Amino acid sequence: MLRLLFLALLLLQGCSASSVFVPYPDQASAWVQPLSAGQPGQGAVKLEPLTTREDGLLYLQELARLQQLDNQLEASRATFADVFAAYEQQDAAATVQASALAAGTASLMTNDNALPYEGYAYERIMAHAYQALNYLGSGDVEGAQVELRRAALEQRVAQQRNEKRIARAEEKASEQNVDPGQFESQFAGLNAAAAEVRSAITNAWTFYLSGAVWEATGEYNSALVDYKQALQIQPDSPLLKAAATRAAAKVDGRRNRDRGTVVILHEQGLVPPKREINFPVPTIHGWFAVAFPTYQPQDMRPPEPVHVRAGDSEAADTEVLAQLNAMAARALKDRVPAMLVRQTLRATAKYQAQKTANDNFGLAGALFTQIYNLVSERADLRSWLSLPAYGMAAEVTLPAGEQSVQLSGPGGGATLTVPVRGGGVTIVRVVTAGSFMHTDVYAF
Amino acid sequence: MVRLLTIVLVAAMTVLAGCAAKVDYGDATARETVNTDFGSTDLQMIAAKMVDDMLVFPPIVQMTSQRRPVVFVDRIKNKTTEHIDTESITDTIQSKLLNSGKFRFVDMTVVDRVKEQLDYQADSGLVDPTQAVLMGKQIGAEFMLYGNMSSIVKRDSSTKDVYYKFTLKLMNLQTGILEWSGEKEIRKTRNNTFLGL
Repeated sequence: MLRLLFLALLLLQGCSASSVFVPYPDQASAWVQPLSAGQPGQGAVKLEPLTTREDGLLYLQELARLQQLDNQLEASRATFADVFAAYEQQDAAATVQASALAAGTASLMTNDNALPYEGYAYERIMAHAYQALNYLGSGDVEGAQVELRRAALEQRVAQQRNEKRIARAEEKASEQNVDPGQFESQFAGLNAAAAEVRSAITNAWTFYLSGAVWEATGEYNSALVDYKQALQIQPDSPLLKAAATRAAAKVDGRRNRDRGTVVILHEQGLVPPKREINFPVPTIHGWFAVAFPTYQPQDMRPPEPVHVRAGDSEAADTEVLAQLNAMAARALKDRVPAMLVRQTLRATAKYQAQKTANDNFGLAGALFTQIYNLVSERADLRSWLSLPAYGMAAEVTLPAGEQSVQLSGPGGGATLTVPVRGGGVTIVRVVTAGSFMHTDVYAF
Repeated sequence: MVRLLTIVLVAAMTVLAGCAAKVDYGDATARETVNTDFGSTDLQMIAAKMVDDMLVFPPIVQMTSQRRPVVFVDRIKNKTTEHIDTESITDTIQSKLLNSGKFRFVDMTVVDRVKEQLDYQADSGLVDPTQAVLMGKQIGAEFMLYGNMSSIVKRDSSTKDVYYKFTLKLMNLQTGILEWSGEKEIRKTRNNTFLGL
């Protein structure tokens, strides 16, 4: 067992700077801080050398996002392409992998950070949505549509994985006699209880984004489908109901040619980092202290909407469509059972090492392994930290032509000139985090 | 001991000989199954099927027996979940149809550059007017070739199934009649192995 320990040490010599010993949120402050201060480019420079690491996927995601916010669309597109290649490699990987076993051995003597970063479904969905924005930004609508279809595919995969959970919630709701008439007839079939489950798994914000792109490109049927998908997740949203009603009218050939819709997509704040908590777990050798990742309620900040004003009378506040912090928490919760198993195995392995050291080398050996066990016991705090905490949105209807749209949020404001097409859709993207505000306008 | 060392060394060298990167030429039409993404084999299968279907379709055979109609290739709309260069597919189809001797094509992708050249010949004053290519003598296309490419992808933890459907249509521009339409379906499935490196 001691030999295994030395082997692990040897294996890990190269990763003293990676997340195995330095908690990921501490590393991430090097690019999250500049982002909140409005300097995403500075963070991107720091990230670039890290993307070749074992858990490169994580760093690639961060880098791609920062490049995008720094208006390096081409670079961001290439980085996201690498992200998807990494995900696809994972999809095609064998169920039992030799290389994963090696990482598993290293993780047994250290912590879960030695395992390769797998990403989460909600991260993958957002990555495709962001890639769609990259394509839109460079005027490639067809490319954007491809990415939106991929985002929808990932949503579907995530939903299928949780089908039982959704069905259970639906059943429960019918047992409790939830009145299906609480929704207007055209939105029948939406289930509030199932929506609650769905909202932690699938992302209404990306569905709304893709609905808006379909609507802007004249594919009203696809737009209606995506707005309805979003409604399944957020059945009470007046914004989504209005959008679905509008798309349904356009499918029937009815549209207002004098006025157009400006869709404001707002990404607010930053997703909270995981925190480490320590607590004892029982093993066959007694209780052993282990570190677990968790989200702490005090890190969850309430959403800060942006107030949108345009023309004389049009005004709206962005409303929450997706809570990425909740999705992150759900994703972590899903991994707890597997983490518990690994932690128990690890506690046993570390106990054995300590015992062997004690038997063979007396006090010095025991102290050495005790210190090692203490220092190496770190929770896996890795997650994509430059993601927003909330995906929000608003809509205003304006007369066709160049229009001025004012945005004001807690961190500052902006005035944009937005081209509005009669019967069409213009997308405005706003990213706010701390004092940082980034805006893009996508006209079709 | 020395013998053992030699055996180990030889074994190691044999194993490592396979590790050096090797470059070789392959058959361009060989089946490519690296992954389920759209690949060269799909492109070739689609182009071959479209051209074969079109050239044996009786009305087309009849139409092209006396003359070579002029066609222009519109775009193939990519409705899949992959970034596919659909122009590359239509290029292959166009080459095959052209080489069959049944059709002629006008290339709409170079119109701007052709116009630039014609303007130069007509207006620059540098080209002998008697030798210059005359404006307004191009032949308009009679048919339009266009289509769609869509896909259905399903995936779970161990399998991925991709279904592609490529549809190509030939429309008579004058009458608006669809003269011909062809379809090619492709299904690819990936099953993850249980054990791997």
